[in-house]
Amino acid sequence: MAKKNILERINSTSLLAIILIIANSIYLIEGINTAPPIKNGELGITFFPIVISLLLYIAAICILIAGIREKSVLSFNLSKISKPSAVIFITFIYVLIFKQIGYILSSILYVLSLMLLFEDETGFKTKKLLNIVYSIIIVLLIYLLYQKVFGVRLPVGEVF
Amino acid sequence: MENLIGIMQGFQTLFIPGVLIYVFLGFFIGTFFGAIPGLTATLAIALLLPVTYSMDIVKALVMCMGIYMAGMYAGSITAITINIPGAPAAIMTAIEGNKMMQRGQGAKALGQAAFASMIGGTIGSILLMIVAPLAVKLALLVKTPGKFSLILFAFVVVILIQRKSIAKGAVATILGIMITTIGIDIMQPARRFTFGIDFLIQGIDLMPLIIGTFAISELLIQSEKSCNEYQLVNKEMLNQKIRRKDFLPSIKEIKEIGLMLYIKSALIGYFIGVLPGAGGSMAAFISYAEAIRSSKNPDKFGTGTLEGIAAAESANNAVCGGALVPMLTFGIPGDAVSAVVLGVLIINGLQPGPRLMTTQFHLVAPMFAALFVSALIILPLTLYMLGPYFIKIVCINRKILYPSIALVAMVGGYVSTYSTFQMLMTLIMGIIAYFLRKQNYPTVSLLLGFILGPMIEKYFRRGLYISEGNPLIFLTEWDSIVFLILIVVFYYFLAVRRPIDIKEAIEKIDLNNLK
Repeated sequence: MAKKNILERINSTSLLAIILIIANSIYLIEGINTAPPIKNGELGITFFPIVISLLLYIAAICILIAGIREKSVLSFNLSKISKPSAVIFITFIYVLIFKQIGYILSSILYVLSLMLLFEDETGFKTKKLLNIVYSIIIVLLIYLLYQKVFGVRLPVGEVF
Repeated sequence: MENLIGIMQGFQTLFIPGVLIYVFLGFFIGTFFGAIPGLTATLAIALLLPVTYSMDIVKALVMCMGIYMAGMYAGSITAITINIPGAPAAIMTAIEGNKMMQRGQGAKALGQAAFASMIGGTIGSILLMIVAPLAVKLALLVKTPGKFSLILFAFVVVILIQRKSIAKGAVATILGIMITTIGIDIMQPARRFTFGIDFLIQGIDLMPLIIGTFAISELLIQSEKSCNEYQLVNKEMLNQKIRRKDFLPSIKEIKEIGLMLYIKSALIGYFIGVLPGAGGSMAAFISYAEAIRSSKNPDKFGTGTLEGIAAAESANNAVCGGALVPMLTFGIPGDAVSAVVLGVLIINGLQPGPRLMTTQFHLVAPMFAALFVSALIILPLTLYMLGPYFIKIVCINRKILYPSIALVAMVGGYVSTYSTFQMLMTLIMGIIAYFLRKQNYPTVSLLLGFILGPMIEKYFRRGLYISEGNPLIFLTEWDSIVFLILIVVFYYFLAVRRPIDIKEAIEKIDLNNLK
């Protein structure tokens, strides 16, 4: 059997380890650039973070080696990640519009979008109008809980 | 004597109707979250974290205790009835309980789970009341170098407990510490690790980290799942017909199991609870394995025995009392729930440690009382009154459930500082935790790293400052030496010499039978 090259050995375990090593390198460089770890014989503000960064390299390299030794290969299934990606995207948009259009409207849109996302052909199907009613009820209940019961101020919107 | 009076006053505070209602409320919330697969008591407290800002701290803490106790127990409901553990701590209960369910003895299994949880929870709470004040006296003896070594010990245990994925435990813990270094330095007014982004000067708040790690990541994981499995679950559950009296275990059954098994399992659970990062699932695992080892009929295990349920449930509920001891006395949480409860204390301006236990014991004592009352009174009472309806909790439409959780989580992230930046951080932390969870990195370690990170750095730098830069201070001060020796001892037992009996017992268990 032909030996696998290094790229063929990459699976989800080793890929995450590589990402961690890259992120850790960025962290370490930032630390070194911020301040020297030891200055005039005293510990600087980056000494401890640099030490833990070096420890992270050791742990991440162990995971990388274990990942390379694994038999599994990287499989990319678009259908598996499409919904989590959509949730992330919708939530990101929600964060952007939250203060702009206010809690009520942005939250109704957010909840409604997620409800449509969690509904699939085989699941609980409800009429579109009912979905809107549910989202309004959920948003109002949480509004009452935060604003009225716990006295938390929620944004009313800057655009309107 | 002083502590006894304090605890009695704690009970007195708890029985004020305006306070007691929060324990009941917490218990119902905990039951709901514990029963639904994917939702946990940790998530429930994480979601409630923002509202604790505007609540009386005593009410918030007693509510957390209700959630904690109920969350540990409620996982057994779906574990027994539909073979899906509502919480990780109920895995062993599913192995035995669902077999009984298939034989038409579901109510008996549910009743036994509740009874064992009651015994375990009560013993754990009593031990908490006895041990916590004694642990405070020990905590007062620990000085700066010792505090550094203590936190190092906690980290080592948290990492070693991961057994097969020690490196992943280390990565998650270090990542948690790294996140805390973003913003302003803990001892000097200097910015660090802000990567040129001004927003990062404010650092990352505890609340977005907790909510992101436990709520948003769960939302992302649940979004991958099809509705098919949930429909199947609902049909199965709706067919369950359970009467109130079916829940009561008979004296004969209790005698057959033996009170010693309940007590032994509770003690195992309690001491595992004290270990940082171990939690209910490990307690249930080990006490179940111990029950097999000490049983006269070990072959019966795995076929649906009450002993297995009694051992697992007694242990996981006893964890609640154990996990609170290091959290309250040293500021080191024993499991994920106590880590989030620690967050509740910190967010409300209370710093766990010997000072909290001595000067503000009036805030802590009602917690002890709430845990005790939740286990001994509320647990059996709610089971008897609402048991037949518990199963219907899980039938809630997830299309409504998860968007609601997402909304509460994101608004909670905003409430922490009234800024959308922390909302964004909630999302980012959720995404990071999602990828870590997909690869079996322990998110509890991430949280412990985040909570204890600033402390270990502070004691490390302060220790070196005291010794004028001589690192030998950590090897010469007796309080530090004690914890360094403990690190070696735990390393030997957890990494070098793993308990053979338990390992063999665990291998006997066919976990693949679980859905």
